[in-house]
Amino acid sequence: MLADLVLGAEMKFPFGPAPALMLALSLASGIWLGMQNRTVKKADLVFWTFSTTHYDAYMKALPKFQKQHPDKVIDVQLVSGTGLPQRLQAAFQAGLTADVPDVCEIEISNAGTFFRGPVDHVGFWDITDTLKSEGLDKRIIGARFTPYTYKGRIFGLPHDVHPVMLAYNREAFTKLGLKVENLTTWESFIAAGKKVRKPGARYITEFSDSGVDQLMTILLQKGGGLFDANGNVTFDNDIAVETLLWYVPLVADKQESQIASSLSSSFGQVMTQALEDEYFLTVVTPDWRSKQHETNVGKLSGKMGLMPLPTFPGNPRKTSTWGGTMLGITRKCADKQLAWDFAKFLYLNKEDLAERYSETYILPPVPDAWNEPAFDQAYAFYGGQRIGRDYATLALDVPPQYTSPFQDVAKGKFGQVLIAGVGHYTKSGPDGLRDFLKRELKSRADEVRKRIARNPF
Amino acid sequence: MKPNGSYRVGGGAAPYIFVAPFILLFLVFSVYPIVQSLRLAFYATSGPQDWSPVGLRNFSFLLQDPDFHKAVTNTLTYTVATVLLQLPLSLGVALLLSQKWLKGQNLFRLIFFSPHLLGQVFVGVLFAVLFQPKYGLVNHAYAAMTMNPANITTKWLGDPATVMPALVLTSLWMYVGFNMIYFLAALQGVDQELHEAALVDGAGTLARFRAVTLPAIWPVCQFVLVTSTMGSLQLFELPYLLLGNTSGPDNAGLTIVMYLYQNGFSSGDLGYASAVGWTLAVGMLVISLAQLRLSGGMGKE
Repeated sequence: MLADLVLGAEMKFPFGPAPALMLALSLASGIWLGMQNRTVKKADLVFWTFSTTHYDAYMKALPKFQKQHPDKVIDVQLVSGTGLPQRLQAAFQAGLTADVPDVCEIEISNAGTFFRGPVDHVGFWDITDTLKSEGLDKRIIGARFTPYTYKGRIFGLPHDVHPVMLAYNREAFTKLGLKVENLTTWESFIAAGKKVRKPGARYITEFSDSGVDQLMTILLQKGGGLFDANGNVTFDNDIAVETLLWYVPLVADKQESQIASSLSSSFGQVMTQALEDEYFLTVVTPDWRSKQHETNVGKLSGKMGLMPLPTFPGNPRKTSTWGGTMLGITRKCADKQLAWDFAKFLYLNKEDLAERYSETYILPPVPDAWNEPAFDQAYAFYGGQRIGRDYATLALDVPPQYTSPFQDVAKGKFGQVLIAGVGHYTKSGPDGLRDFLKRELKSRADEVRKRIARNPF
Repeated sequence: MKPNGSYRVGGGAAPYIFVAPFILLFLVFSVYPIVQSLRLAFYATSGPQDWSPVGLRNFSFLLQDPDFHKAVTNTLTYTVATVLLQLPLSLGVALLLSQKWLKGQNLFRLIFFSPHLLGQVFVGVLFAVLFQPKYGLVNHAYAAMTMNPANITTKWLGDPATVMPALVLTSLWMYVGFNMIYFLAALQGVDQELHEAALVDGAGTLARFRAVTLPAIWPVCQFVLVTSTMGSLQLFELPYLLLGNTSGPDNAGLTIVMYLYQNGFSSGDLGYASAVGWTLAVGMLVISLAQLRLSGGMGKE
């Protein structure tokens, strides 16, 4: 036996040979580990991002920053999109510092969940004064700070603007006699939608009758939102009522008024097939999605185009916004100056922004960077359209979007009203729809208010 | 040192030393979190610095919270539907696969059991694609079976009315074969002499199943009933992935554990999430005890 060999036949280990062997192995491995050369220096700055595209771009830019800070070690880590906010939230809630990066990117739908309690207890560093002292609040589009602002203080640097356009199938448009210049108002768009509709086979656009992604872009385009700047619930105001009143008939299945439909997923192979089959002639497309179309729907190369959102009467806004990312510096970060320099390097360096735009098609929220030639590039997939310039033209008009820790709850409730409204419309038509929606919105908004009122902080 | 040369730990301490690592880990990773979560249930919190005692308010809010009611209704509906469908189906498949005349029994057993090997995450993603309107295989089969081409656009995961049937179907696909294994093992333990005696007495197939097979496998039925119920009440991953990290339209796929997760990690309301968790734990205990009592599993032979 090995244990006998190690301990000698005369001196038996108290618990027998197996534990002796385990002990010997653990000691040996411990000694071996201890003898390893620890040449890797602990990182001075740990940065988490959840997006592969961002990660690739940052890794490409990193050597330049390292050159400026040769004595600093920057560790950029790609963390799962679902895992990142949960890990960070858990660490903040428990007051831990071990599993907290110095800098991290947070997706807009998760941002609000970090803004709870007293301002000085938020897990991120308050960058309001730093931004103002360096004049960056003027350099970045103001509306993009709103999702990352809590009680008047800014906790995140916006990564993007995400203006919204409609991606359309040029070939199908020509075949069906549709002209972009005739679809500048929602009224004309709906009329065209009714003409080209083939129930179960073709719809002019993708609007969901149960999810709120597209509905939210319309609500924002009309100047509404789920919350106001102070975190008060606003999705039962007149704008929300009017938006739903307009939207519900368009998506109510098998109704004369229907012009739009949806699949269970707006992404991936299913959407690719739907676009190729001309099931949807247009889709709501923020800048990030324009890249997805190019990657996923190769068959339609040269046949796609982008047009501004049609407008509502008395409201000239031709765009909205969908999605977003913020960069936050955590309170536990030991070298805030280094973190701030790194944040500015990633988010404000014009040359790098232009290069990153070429790779991601995501417009940075820094208008002075849009003068770079990259933003005038013509894209073959979009039939030679200079989509960067088109998005940039709309970007200054992107509406503000306020968040709250109760964002998901409010979104869910708003979706419930949509489903109830569609049900009501399918059963009773437009009769009494306004009152029904008003009542439902008020009731659901009050439920969210009750939840908010429970928070004593 | 003992005369034979081995060292011994005196005073009978050895057993304690052996169990000490478990006790230590159990205290740190089980007892402490359980106690802490019970404490949390009586507080409103916002990070480690903001704790405010709220007495029973977290629990009283549960009683008037429509989302919690929805989560409870969904979870119970799922539990009843899966248990009522899953157990007879599992037993039926096990009975079928234990027939001597059936060729390729092992292959069929593997086929029925294999969905469980995939895991809830994979199954969730897979069925999310299968249930797609227009392009999903389920709808193609549904339209063909009903001879109604319009059914191809059925939004299984987009319509509140069809989310639960879709969840139950997915769960059946995954778990029927898993529970079948328990029943197969139990069926192998049934005394064949009793079967032969019943046969000599002129008992038919159904009578033999009722009088011989069922009593013999009853403890396994109880076990499967309780574990299936517990598993169903703790449902989380399957709907979460099937519905694209959401609770589905009109919260049709919201389960109690999902609601706990949403409150704890999306809204950051750990106190309320703890109250949800403890309510679920107590509910599960009551349901399990009731099941065991009703099925005669509490000490009765």
